[in-house]
Amino acid sequence: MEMSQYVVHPAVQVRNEDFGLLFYNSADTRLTFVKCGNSIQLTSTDDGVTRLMINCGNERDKEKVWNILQNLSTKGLIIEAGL
Amino acid sequence: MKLAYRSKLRAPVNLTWEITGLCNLSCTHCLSSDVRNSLSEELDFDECVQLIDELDRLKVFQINFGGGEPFLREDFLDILDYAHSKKITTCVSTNGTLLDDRLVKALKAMDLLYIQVSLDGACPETNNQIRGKGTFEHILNGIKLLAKYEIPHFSINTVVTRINFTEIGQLHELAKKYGAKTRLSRFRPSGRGREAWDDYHLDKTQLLEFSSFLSDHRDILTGDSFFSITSEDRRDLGLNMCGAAKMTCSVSPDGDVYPCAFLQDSFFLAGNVTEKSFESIWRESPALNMMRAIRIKSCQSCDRFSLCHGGCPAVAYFITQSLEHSDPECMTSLHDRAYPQEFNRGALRHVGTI
Repeated sequence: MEMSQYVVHPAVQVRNEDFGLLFYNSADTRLTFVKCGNSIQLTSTDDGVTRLMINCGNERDKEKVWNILQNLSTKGLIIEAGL
Repeated sequence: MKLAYRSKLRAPVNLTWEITGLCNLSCTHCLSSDVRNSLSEELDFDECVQLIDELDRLKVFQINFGGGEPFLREDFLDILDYAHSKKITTCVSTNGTLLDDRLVKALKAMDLLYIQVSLDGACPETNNQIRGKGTFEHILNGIKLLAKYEIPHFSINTVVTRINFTEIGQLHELAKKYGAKTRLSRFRPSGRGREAWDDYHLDKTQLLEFSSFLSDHRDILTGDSFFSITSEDRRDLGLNMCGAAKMTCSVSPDGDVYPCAFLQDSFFLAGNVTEKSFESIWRESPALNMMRAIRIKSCQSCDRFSLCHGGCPAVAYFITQSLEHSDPECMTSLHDRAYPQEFNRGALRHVGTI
């Protein structure tokens, strides 16, 4: 499966928690809890952009992560890189 | 939300920070019972910067600034700017009386700022009874300025009491007139509110009526104030449990850390940020861990448990003097039995203990 690359929306903050990721949208102060363990990792670039990196091996897990990313994208919390 | 309940977050999501104890008003329900008269007990600017740096490192998303009146601090705009430079969203709770063109123009330039102005009545008589003589006009002037400059994230906050209960609808209309959101906060027997509890707290009938009103007005914000009476149809609009020590905590002007602003009692003191790192206080403090461990046994079999998880520990503590009691104003209590009057006397016993 070809995975798209995603970055966190500029108005959104995200951090790692034991259960996975915790998103905060400064546009409405809403929180989004994402139970994904460590299957999505965050990396920050020098220009302040946060990228989401897939960290799972098998296709079944990748499909789950893909669904999570699609959902986060629909909510406007992450953006497909290059768009 | 369920996840956060089960495991301790690495840092709070937001922090309530009473940035100053100074205030130009003396509201009868104020949670700050001991308003300070000097700056000597406040964190200075460098200490504030240090704390913000640590909050940034921990990825705390939001700081809710209150007081006292935050705008009485001369360096407050610099503190806001510094927090925003770290991409931390701020929410300022102000009494609105110090807002003028110059100040509101400065606030307009802050993209990450939310501001809420306190107004406790739709007419001068009601508001002034709570917030002081002549305050209604001053507050309204502040509200008009925020509307004039089209401050985007602007709300009018009312602490719901027996005094202003019948004006909540009018307050909602007033907020809409000025392009503001309505935010309703719960009156709690903390600080000066303990002395006012008997006169101000809603009775059983009013609480039930108010719950219905909130159901009919989903646009009204309540934060985590009213989950004890939240109906099913507002389930998706806010928290379903007390966030103290789990999602949030409070810092007093001198750097003391408490589970929440309504639990500023020595029993709940978790540490001071000038003596220990905020991170170690959050992770290791016995007071915060005690709050995280609270389980109200009588609530766990309740049909409404998923909506409130026992309600507000601050109300329960100051009314019943125990953390093992459910929120005395919870919906189930209201339906099942008369309001336990002996709890009122409990609130009075706490007057002056801080």
